[in-house]
Amino acid sequence: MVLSIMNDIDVKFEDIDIEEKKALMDILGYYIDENGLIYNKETKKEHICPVTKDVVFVENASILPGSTVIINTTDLSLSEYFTEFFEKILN
Amino acid sequence: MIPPDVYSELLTKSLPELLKLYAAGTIGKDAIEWVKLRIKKLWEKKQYGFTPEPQIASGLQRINKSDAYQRTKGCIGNNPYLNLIRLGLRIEELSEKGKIEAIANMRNNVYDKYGNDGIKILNMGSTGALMPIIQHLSDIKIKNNYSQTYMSDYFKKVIENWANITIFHQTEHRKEALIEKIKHYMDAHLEIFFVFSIGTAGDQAKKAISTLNNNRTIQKKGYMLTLISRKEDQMGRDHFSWIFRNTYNFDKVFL
Repeated sequence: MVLSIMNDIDVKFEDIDIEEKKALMDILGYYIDENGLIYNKETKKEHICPVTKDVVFVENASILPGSTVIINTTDLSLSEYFTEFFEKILN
Repeated sequence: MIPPDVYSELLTKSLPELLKLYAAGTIGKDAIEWVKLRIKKLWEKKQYGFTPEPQIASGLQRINKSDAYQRTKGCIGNNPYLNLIRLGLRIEELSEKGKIEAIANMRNNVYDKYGNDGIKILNMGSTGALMPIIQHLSDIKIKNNYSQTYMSDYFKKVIENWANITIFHQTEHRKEALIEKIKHYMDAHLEIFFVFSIGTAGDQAKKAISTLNNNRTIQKKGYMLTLISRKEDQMGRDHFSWIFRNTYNFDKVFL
């Protein structure tokens, strides 16, 4: 049952330009410094990728569904996102 | 106050379209505030993900829904290997399309985090061995009602012993050499081993294995043979995978 629910959901993955990415992050509570590094507005600390445990630059950032998951983008980090977040949040 | 016609038009816009508008800043102050709230609301619906690699993310989502992935997850449960299985299945697709650079990048990232075990799983994908392995895991779990913990350990052993339980037959190896190698593996009483072959080498392997089957060598040595996969690739070549299982409960080398 759980699997069938999950399999019915289709997330549309799209690339958007940097300005649109910055706009979304602004709305979701993040800001970008002059070097392109992402910060949390509330804590004023650098955002740390929950998958790679490293800081994230806007150019390489994926903003993914859930309670806002912002990660560094590689095949591996996206795969880990699916395991760690996607399967859980969509259930 | 947003004019009614603007409001009606904004209501029809998708999340990416609204982001474009918001970023451009070309709409009035009232509308901007409304758009901001609307973006938040649409984001919470979890219908979109924004990434510099939309094709990879979409591909992984498709793999996530695939029978092969779901069967693996059913076998080994929630497990870090799933990250690699997903990529192994992706690499299988990339290999068929000859995307060498993308595969090399993936290997580097995986090696940095998962070392040789990670690379072995990717290699299973690039050699076409991953799907047969998944089928084998699924078969033995169902047949023996093994737990996910048992299956996870079993899969780990398959990975650890991978080089010693696989034969990748190529035409230049010749039929006779394959026959001898299979006999050698059976004489070593391995619990299981696999033979993989593609195209004309597959036909050669098929003949070698038929010889061993027809003269009952496989049965006499206590093995059961199954053709677990025969699949045609995009170049029209058949990929063959056989598994040899030791049927004796004694004297075999467990994985």
